[in-house]
Amino acid sequence: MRALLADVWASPTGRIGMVLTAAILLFITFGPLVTPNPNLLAVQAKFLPPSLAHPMGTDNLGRDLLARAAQGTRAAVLIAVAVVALSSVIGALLGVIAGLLGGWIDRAILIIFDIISAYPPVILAMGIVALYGTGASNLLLVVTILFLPQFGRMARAQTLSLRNQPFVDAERILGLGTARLVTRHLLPNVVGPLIVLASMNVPVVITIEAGLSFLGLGVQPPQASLGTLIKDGYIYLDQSWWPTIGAAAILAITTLGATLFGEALRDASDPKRKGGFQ
Amino acid sequence: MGIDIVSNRPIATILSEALPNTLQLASTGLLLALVFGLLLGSIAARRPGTLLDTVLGVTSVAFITTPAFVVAIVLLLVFSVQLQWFPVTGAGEPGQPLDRLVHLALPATALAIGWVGYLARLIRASLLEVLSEDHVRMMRAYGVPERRIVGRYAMRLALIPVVAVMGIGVGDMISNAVFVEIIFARPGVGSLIYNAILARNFPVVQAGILFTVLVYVTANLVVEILNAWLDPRIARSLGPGS
Repeated sequence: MRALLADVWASPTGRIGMVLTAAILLFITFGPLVTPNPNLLAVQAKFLPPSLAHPMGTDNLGRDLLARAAQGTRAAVLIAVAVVALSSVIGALLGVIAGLLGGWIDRAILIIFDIISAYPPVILAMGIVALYGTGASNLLLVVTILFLPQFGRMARAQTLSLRNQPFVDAERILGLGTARLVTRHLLPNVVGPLIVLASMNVPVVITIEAGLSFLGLGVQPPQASLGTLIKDGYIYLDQSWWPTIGAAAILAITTLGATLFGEALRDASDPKRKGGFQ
Repeated sequence: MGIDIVSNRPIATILSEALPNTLQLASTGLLLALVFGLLLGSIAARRPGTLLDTVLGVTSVAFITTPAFVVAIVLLLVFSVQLQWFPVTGAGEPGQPLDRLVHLALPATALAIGWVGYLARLIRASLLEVLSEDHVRMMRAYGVPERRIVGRYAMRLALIPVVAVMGIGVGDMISNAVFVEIIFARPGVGSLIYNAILARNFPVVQAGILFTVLVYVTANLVVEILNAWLDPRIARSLGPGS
């Protein structure tokens, strides 16, 4: 783990990614502690430009935008991590089961994956949210479903290549049950590439969450998220462009940092790709 | 497909009015992404390891990671509100190609940016791989000019992975068209579905999603066939006896 992080640090883009990611993590950990209440209204102080008291200015209700950005980034990152964790675990389980058991179970699971990926992602998310209602928990569920096929297919491919290796036969002969085989021996072998894929998907999830919240289909007010901040700013774009650009910049920094970090992690964990930055 | 419960018009008519706008937007976006992605990617691949290559690489990542709706808002703010070079909303008057093109410029750019970055990196990687192969070294040994090697021979091989991801590209264009259509207030399938969701107009939501999926799946089928045609190895793996 330490050697891996050292490898990430060694590549110039990985270093940028690490610094940006660390800055965002500090921002969401300590930001909400040192900034004023993000929901504190001060209508007479609306649309203030950046100043010492309000480093990012205030929004249409006079709320401090730095505080709202800290709260919103925290929501975005937490949702993204939860989504990736959920969908990688469920996807990996489904994928390993499909690869190991084969037959109609394999086909059924693959068909489910195919159905999910037959929709353009945002369209599927919009459809499900339209049916089951908006809110942070539904958003979490929807995006988790969206990312299942990726993790599942990868775990299935890994399992297929492991299934015929001698150690699996040996364990069968020793009398190991399927459940134990999966949890103790197959899943650990699938975990490495899954973690890399998961870390690369965190910024993608952040983008999708921000997009859906921007449409008003995700996190609901007064709870802030990067998407709702951009949306609130967008509505009043003709009066003040600070709120929009500030939130958009933080969103861009977060996804850029996470992407650079994830890619450096992928390169460092794959000996074949070492050295190249593509 | 039934009758719209709000306007009392057939949903098929509403969709057939909205679809051309979205298809124009998505195909222009994809075309822009292809042209500029190929250009930037081949420039970077010709000079690997140079400063220009690094700058293009970082720019590509920045393009990829900035969401389309953020790009759309920034473009709107800079070019329509501040500079007033382009119209703010709408899709232009029907039947006036020039007016429609002007209305298409910013939304299509917003759609394309992410894929410009993605394709530039993809082309760079696959072009570098092709250029390191023996047959290219052979051509260099024969004295074939580098420009001709890249343009005539290497690019054709390097394009195969690009065609392979075009299916995903279409899906991304349709997805992001939702945001772009809303931000630029363009009539289209994306904004149609969105407004129907807000109005709880479920027949339109259903029909809209069905239609989008149909377009997406068809596009993917075309890409698969194109891919098999370009790369005979794929065709063989799909054929009988595999």
